[in-house]
Amino acid sequence: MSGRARWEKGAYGLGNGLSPAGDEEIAVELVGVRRNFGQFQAVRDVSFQLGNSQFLTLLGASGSGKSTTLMMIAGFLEPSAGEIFLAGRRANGLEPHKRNLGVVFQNYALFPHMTVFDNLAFPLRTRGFDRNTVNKRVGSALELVHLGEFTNRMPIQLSGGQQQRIALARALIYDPPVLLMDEPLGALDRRLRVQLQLEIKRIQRERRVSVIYVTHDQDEALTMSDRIAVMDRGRVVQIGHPEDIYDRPETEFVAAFVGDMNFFRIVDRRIVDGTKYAVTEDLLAIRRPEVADQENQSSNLAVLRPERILIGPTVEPTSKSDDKTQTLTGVIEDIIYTGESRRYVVRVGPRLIVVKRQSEDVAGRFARGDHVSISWRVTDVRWLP
Amino acid sequence: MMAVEVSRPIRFPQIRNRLRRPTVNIILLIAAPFITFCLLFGYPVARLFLLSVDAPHFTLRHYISFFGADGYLPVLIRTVTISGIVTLCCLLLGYPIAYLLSSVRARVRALLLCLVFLPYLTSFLVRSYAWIVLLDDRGVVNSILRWLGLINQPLELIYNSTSVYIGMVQILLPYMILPLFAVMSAIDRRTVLAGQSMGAGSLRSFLCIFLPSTLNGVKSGCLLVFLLALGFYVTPAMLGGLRDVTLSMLIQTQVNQLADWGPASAASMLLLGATILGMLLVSKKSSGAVMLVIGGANTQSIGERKMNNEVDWPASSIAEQKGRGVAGAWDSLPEPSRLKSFLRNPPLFNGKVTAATFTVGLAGVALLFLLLPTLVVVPLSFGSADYLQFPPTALSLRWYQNFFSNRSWLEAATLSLWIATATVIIATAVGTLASLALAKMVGSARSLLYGLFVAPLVVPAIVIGVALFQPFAQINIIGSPAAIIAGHTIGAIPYVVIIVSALLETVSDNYERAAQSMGAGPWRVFVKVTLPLIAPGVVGGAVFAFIHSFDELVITMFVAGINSQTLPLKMWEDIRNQIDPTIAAVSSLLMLIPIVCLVIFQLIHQTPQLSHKQ
Repeated sequence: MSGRARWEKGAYGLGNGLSPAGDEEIAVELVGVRRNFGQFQAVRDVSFQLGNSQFLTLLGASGSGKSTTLMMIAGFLEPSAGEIFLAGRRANGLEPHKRNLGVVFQNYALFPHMTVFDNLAFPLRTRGFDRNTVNKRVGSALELVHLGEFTNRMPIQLSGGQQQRIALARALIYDPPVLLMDEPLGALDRRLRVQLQLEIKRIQRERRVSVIYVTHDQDEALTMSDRIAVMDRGRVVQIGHPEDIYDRPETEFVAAFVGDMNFFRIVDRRIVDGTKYAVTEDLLAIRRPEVADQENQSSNLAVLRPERILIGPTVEPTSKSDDKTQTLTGVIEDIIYTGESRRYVVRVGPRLIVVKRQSEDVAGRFARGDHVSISWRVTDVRWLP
Repeated sequence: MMAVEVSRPIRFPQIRNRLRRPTVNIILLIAAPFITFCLLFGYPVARLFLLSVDAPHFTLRHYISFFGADGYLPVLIRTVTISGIVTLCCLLLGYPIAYLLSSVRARVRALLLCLVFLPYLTSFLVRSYAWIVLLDDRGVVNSILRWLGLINQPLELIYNSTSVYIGMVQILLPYMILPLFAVMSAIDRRTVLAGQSMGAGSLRSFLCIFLPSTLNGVKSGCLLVFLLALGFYVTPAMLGGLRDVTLSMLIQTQVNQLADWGPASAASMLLLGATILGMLLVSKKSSGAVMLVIGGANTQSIGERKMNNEVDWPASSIAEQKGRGVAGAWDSLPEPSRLKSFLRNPPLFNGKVTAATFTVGLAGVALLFLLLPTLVVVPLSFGSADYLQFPPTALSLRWYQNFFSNRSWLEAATLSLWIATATVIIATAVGTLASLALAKMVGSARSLLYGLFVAPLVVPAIVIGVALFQPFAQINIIGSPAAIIAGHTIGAIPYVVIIVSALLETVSDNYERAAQSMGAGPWRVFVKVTLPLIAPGVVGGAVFAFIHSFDELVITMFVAGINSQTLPLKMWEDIRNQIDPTIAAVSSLLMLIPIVCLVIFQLIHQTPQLSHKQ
């Protein structure tokens, strides 16, 4: 066990009290991190903190800089500027093999010339564990991912999902405090992806490991994360709880990237009969909340989730008197059935508005060409800068 | 990577190849290869250049007299003409073969590829000698014609320009086929189907879609063949007559017989200049395809990888959505109809002999031309007469006995074996180091060094031989095994660099990164991960290095002096002095080497998980 002891106390000294006491709660911190490739700014001024046992997802399209950020945390890439702290200790310039992080790669990177056992044993042998410990640990790691009988297989003999599980087990077997995952489920089909999402969450909770997870899949991000950092062109544009990201997007990019959205571009503001309206470019009048806040005063973009809109038979415009909702009438132009939900494309004047209802919502079954009224709560409209 | 691509969409800068690279390590890795190349390649060539410009006076008198009235301009013109015609012939024969190779089922393709590789790996000397056996006054062709009663006097088939053309085309043909094949197998055939679905006829879709996408391969193949033909020595010297002197023969005569260094150095520089010009002419893309020739063992997998990589193939990704069903149908088509779909019956054949049969027939004849002449040597080596007799009247093993009991033959073989072994060890070590360093470099430094390390492959051996002669003579090592090993090593390193580099390209950096992330230091990563992953390439490189050394004649001719005789050197001299059937026996034995190599490659290929990129 001397190897283990040396590992924990020795030259690497992660989390050994060198850092201020308050930082012990912070597993990873980035401060103003940048990375340029020649003229191209892949990562611009990224800062965030990851608490212990937290699950943070970097969500963004390809080229948004999320993988580059991860590679810098892992130490495969040096930041052009800024600082990276691991357990409160500055990690800039620290070589990857001295960072004691677990990394799961997009295509698993299982060593093709080693058996499953040797793959799992690799980090343990590197750390000088004795044979018994290696055997025991590999055994329990395989149990963790339910692949106990695959010890002597070669990676190529495993399915994609099995390879992914082995890669996960390999990254966790030496108990790294932080696990970095780079689109780990990208190569798998949807069913397997959902299954493994749950499994990764289970293991993360059991092992109380901090995770930074990179994905371009918003569902994956929403399902798994404690916090999501949405990245766009090298910047973190919004960071927060999944519900914050979904319900309270702060920028047009976030609103468009996560989930479906109706966008209304505001060109004017009017007050008619004491009711405040915003006029869109296609001349719809969207009601503003009675209580004026800073945002909707200056905003030039209103967004509304399709599932926040109710749809029903046409009603007389008298019901307008309800000051908490807004109702419009229109004609159903198209219906898109996706199994669990129906999407109605409703034409209101020159404008198409998408409404999404659960399929079992019998009340809302209409056909193309039907005249309908659509309504939403005034507070469900988000006003973006 | 390997540049068999047609076009590539603009991408975000890749993180790949940009991982942490400590510069100190690169310098350590690159030091040995770089110094080796400076000493054995850069310095001698630079010295030869200075000699050609008459340093320290710096005049152009050698060049002026070269081009002058009594100069060697006709030799230059002849050399260029021969190279051009040979290139053209190779293209005409090679295109159908490459097309056939890329069109047939995987199993058939593997077999046909072997048929191309067999002659490719067989000694130049043996293959040139086979043509003597065939075309000599008492050779196979004349014997058959006389037996048929068609002639009384033997035809003069050899020692003229015709025999030079025939021999050179046959020997250089694989260098045309392999780049063409590499490019063709990377073409997504669905693009042709797409063309047809849009109404283009078979001929039209061949001419407008398929042919243009192979132009890179055509360019690389032609350039490679042309450059090799330009500096070719063995075959023209062996099969040509007195009037067929080429530039390389001229250089050899000037140095070895007249010791006239001025014109020889000027002629060498002209050859070198042509080579460099040619290398610059090919874009980086198609030079990649040239390099594929050597890494030919990998061509198939690279082609397949490209096929699966839709990102690199905008055209294919369009077809991708709807193409899968079509592709399946494509694969299940019987072979001739697949060919037919490219070339509809030309009127010439009146619908009876289809174009498909024509293509297959042409490719078949070309393949036979590639393969058979060399094999003729084998039965003749078992003859019992005192001269090569066709058909042999009685069979015997006397020429094999002669080889194994003749001291000078055995000594030559032993020397060659030792030298090849030493060459393999040095070249593999140096070449692998160079590849590892190159893999960690980017940009122009990488291209420049890569170019340097593979240059001896296209720089005519005669130039290197001439360049090495003086420095070696100065330190008095001409004739020593060290000199020969040095000469062979410089030519063997490119093979190792190309093959190992090609393999390193296919090995994902993520393996090394994964190992690092799990706490492995640089040395452990190398020993436990990198080395096992590139082992097939190292073995492949070693095999090519061995073949190169065992076959090397031209450089050896200059540095071996008169006391050391390697096997090729002894064969060379014996062939020129007498047509002793022992040479046929030796040649037959040497033909076993490529067969052994193909078996080794097959074994390497059977561990495909090692070379697959993730």
